[in-house]
Amino acid sequence: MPVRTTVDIPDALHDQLRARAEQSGTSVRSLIVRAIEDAYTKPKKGKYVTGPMVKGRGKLGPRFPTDENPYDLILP
Amino acid sequence: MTSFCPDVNVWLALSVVQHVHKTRAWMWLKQLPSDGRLIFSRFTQLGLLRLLTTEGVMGDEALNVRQALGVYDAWVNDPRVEFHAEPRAIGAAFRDSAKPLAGLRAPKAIGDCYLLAFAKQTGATLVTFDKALYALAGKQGCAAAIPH
Repeated sequence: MPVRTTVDIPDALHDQLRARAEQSGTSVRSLIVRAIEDAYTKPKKGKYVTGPMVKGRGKLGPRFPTDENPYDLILP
Repeated sequence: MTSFCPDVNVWLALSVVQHVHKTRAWMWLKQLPSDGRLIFSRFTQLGLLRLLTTEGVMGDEALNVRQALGVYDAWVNDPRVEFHAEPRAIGAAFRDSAKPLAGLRAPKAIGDCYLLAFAKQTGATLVTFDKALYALAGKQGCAAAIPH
């Protein structure tokens, strides 16, 4: 459940946020929430993936894609 | 922080050694800025899982569901990667994205427009090997990149 809160933001910063939101097709609210999450959530502790995980050299299927997303296979 | 939204085929190139664009995908990943973040949407998550488990795609290397989930889990455990829930305004953004293509009989446009809408809504750069999708992103003011 979202909690409504009021924060005073400097005019110049608000203008920047609004411009950035218009530019990226999102909302000022989304940008603010994202920034807070980025700043205050704990960093994940996991292993870096260092290369492809499917390493077999067997023959691939005829529908294996090159450039385009095979949406007919992706969408059920 | 800079966010990137790889399409399904880019995730496949990062995951399968035999993908023709594997080297390009990995060079791109290794050159990400230190604060770069890769995001999965539900669409790309399920898409990757479906491709990895489809024999027509993966042939002899097709994975079972457990193995495919293992590949996905390894990605989301990577500190650079995270799953991003569907933004609340995605429906309207998808319709906006599809508006210029509304007169076409083009099933490919449905998936492309969803990816564009998701990238826009999350403020991420769409990453694709598909030149047509890249061009469409440019026309719609969505940041996009093709790994080189």
